[in-house]
Amino acid sequence: MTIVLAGKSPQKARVEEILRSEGFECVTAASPRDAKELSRDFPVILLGNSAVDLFLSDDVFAFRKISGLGAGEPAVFLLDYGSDTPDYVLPLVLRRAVSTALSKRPVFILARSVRSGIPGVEKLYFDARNAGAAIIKYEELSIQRSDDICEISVSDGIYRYTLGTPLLVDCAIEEDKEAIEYAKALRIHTYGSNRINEDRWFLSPGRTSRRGVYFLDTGLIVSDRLKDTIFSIADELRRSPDAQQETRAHVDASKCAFCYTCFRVCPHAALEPDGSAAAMKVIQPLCTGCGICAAVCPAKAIGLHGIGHIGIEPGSAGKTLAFCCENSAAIAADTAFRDIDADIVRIPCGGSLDGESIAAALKTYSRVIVAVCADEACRHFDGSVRSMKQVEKIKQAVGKLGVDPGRIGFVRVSHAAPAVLRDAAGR
Amino acid sequence: MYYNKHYKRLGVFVRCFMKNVLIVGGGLAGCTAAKQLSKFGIPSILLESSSIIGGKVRDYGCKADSRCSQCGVCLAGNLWEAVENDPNISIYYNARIFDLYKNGDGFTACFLSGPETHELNVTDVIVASGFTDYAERSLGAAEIAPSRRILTGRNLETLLKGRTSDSIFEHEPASVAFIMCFGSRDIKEKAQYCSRVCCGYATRSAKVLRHYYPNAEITLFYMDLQTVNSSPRYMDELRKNGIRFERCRPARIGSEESLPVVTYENSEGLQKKTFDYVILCGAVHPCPDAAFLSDITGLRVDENGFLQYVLPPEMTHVYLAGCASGPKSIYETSADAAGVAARIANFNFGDGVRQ
Repeated sequence: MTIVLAGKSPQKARVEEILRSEGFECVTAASPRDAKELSRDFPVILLGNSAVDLFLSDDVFAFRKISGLGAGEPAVFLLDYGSDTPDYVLPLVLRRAVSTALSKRPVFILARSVRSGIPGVEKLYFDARNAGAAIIKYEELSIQRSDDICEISVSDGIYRYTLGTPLLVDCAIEEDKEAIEYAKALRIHTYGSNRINEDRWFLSPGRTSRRGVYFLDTGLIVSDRLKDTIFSIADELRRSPDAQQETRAHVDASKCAFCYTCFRVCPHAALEPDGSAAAMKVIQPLCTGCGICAAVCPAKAIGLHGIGHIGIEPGSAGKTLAFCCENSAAIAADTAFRDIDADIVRIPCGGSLDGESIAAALKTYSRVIVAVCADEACRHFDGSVRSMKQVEKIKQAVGKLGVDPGRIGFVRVSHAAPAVLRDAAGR
Repeated sequence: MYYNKHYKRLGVFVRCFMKNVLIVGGGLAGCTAAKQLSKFGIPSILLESSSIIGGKVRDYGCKADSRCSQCGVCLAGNLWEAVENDPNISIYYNARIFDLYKNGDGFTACFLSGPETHELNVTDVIVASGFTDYAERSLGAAEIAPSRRILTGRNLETLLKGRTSDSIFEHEPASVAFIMCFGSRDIKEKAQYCSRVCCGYATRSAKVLRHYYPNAEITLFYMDLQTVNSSPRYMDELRKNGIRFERCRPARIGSEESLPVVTYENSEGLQKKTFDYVILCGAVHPCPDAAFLSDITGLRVDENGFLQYVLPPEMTHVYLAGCASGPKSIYETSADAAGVAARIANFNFGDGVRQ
């Protein structure tokens, strides 16, 4: 199997070696554009190399700094200042703290959280304490910088300490700019301050928002974790369970207006222009069948295999119709609608709901509920935000026609709190 | 495409049809592993000690306030139904394994399911026996007075699951205390390790309580804090919401006039404070069967009582998934179990060992 390595990292040779020992062939992408082309046919591992303070990463630099310290002058490592420091920086800090403490300098580690979740870190804490490093879990902290001495005032909720140090190591990291360029070209979602991986994608380590594209920040990952992460990526690639999924979008090329709307909205980057047919086409392995493209397509050229257009049986007055996202509300529906006379329509994602379906439902049902996941919990990123906007639009439109907009309800639920859905429907 | 190419190799099917996996424990880890194996076409036998699969996660509630706080409960979703209806998975309820011995390339497992005894041949074993909640075990202990207002973390989860759109508790609480690290970081309890999960669920539940009861006073007694979300300033956000953090281990949780009283010490000396509800965020302790399972499977019991590998599992064909090998969050458990399933299904390295 071939795998594409994109981005730059000093650990690239090691990554290649591990991948080769797992039976993969490695191809290097020279530019973001190149990576984008190659990602159509092969899985991609994007390498990043986030920068930490030289004192943590460079032994020689650190040695010089330590020897420059006068007797009794402490080295202070500062974590969680400004923003929470990523977990993987901590082993670097603790190792450096041990080496600093062993060269007979006082060492202070100021942190807000302990991060004992990293394998082996309990032992590192133990070593650092034994070597003489003081670990302060602070609650409040203020720094006054003068020419060469930093005055730090720190409180752990019980005591207040003041430290004067010429060597203050800020353990914040700087994200790799080049990796973010690649991420944009590969259409991976980035979050907030350009972070590529966000919590919910560590379901499988290294996984990003796009299937078949993985992200490894080799600059900071501990070397044994690097190996494990690559192993798990290799396992997943060899036997991708997603290949058996049934629901997929397909484009009717004769109807397609080639307007690129679906290309812009697809959260999984699964649509691409097919120049020869003058129509869009679905990259099958990437499609998750969320149906967002089908809902936005102005020409109605996109359909989903497995399910047809959301069919609405005519209901009776006084009855409720609930559009339930199958990831949350549809699971809760059994419990929630036990005592309520309601019809349930399963939808693959809130985003797949178009205005027409709601309007059609309003004709016969006296109340329509749209129940979707919470915004950040949506597996298709902006699906539930889309559904909320759709509902707002429909409410305005029917309001103008003289229909009571209160007949349409919108609720964010989870399968693990069914009574919330019941209350929304019963109101 | 690259996803399908390797599926068509005959070898894959031959190997997969030959495999047959025994999974001890029908909680999140066991069910995730079974489901994942079934996707690879490998049949599995799931042993569940109670009469319903899903273990502890089945009762967990959503911890979104107005926004999702990424607790991971959504991962379970309709997993239980999917496992129950999967033709590749045979579930034995009220089951208890009593022997496992080597038989040719695989194992023979002897177990009770209800009154019946079964003997089955399997090729691999996954131990997903889960954990014990310390708080439930300790409710009758000397330091803790019996009171209906003292809840364990699991009681709170059940309340969160059953919450309506405007209430969680029966009575609107004026003050709620969370006691974190309850039974971990504790030499007396032989649990010096950090349980790692209670920071997550205590802070998230506190956010939900704040959302439902804006005027309630919420206090978290803590010793260590883990990083919970990668979102910067998560802790500051909590403080801004008016959630108080008190760094100490309460000495006693008593009860006066049916309300719980927490005795603790801070910089101003000994304090005694009455709360409407006290929530004990119990530690993750090893499963009571760990020693027995270690006897029959050849796994090692570590200094904290959790099971660990002695040899790489590809050699022994005994795998560990979930909290049997140490405290794990829902996300980590799910990833761990899926990873174990992939390792079993992995035909290239089925007999090889990764260095």
